[in-house]
Amino acid sequence: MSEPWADEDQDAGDIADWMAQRQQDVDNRDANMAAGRDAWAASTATGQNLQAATPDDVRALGAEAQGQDAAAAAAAPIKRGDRRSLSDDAEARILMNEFRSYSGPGTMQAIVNSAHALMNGDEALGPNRPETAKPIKTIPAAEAAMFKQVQDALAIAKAQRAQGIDPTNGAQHFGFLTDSSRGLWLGKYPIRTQVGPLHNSFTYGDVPSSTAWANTYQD
Amino acid sequence: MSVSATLAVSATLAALWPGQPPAAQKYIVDRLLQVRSGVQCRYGDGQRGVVLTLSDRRRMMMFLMEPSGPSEPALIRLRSNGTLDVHANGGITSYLAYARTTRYLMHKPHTPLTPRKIPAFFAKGDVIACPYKTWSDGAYEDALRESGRPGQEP
Repeated sequence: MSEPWADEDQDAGDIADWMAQRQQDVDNRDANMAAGRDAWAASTATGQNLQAATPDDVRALGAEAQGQDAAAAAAAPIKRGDRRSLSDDAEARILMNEFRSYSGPGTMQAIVNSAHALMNGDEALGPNRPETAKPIKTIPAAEAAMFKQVQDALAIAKAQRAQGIDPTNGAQHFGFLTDSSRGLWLGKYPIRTQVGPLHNSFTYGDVPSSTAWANTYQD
Repeated sequence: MSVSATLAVSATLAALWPGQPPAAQKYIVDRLLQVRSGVQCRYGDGQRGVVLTLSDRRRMMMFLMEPSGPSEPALIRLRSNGTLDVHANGGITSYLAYARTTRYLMHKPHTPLTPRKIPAFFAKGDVIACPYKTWSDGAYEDALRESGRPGQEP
């Protein structure tokens, strides 16, 4: 479990991300404007007569038109690639190994999010996915309830993906912080989801905090 | 090192992580350019764990040498109280596994390194044995035993 990482590249990374986001905003604005013009022109031809009195109205029309397309596309099952290397059971046992000391409200959602990140990385990269612990071989009897929770969370994540839903929007990394920081992780990955605080039952030596925030990160 | 020499070494180092996106490669290479020494061991399953120390003596990188090349490194900081702060993908078992191997290797003889020498260091065949079956097997249970709480329920 990690403490916030003071990194000399953090500012540069933040600025680069901000610039990239601004560029994306500009690209979106231009695309929405064009789509809005198309939608308005089409509506005059069909007699629907969409209203767009100002440039902002035209952009809003375009965003709405593109949003409808995006919604239709989102209904397709989520699949990030053809390199899947993990079985359902291996996925559950990896998540169990990584979550076995965490509990409390939000734990189920945290496991669901991390399951998406695990599957995203595996589908896209196969054995080269971001490193995790290996699957736990034997589930201790005292941890059977936790394993059931992990299996249920994994089933929820798979059902979501079948319906085109990925709350992490393609994140491949997951990790835990000792606070609710939302900055770049490992100096380079923007945050996608955050759940916390969770309770961490293992507090000793290198892992001193009994609270944790479970995050997923974009690549 | 001159700028052109640094660029050449950077390209060589980036090629060691072919599966990583460019931004991640740059981040890794920026840290590899600060390397001072390295040490590695082989787990029971044949995989190798590698720890590199950086110019800031409290910071290290640890990763696994896999058939396809080195994994994405964990960043590890030595806290002032002697414990390790691990930044890595994964959860409790990954953190404990990285910390376990790093702590083991910290106290073994290190090979002095410069960025140029890293590829040869990675290719080295004679490495010491890690006292673990795999990098993560038993990491959680070992930590529980060490903490004096074997059988602790989550």
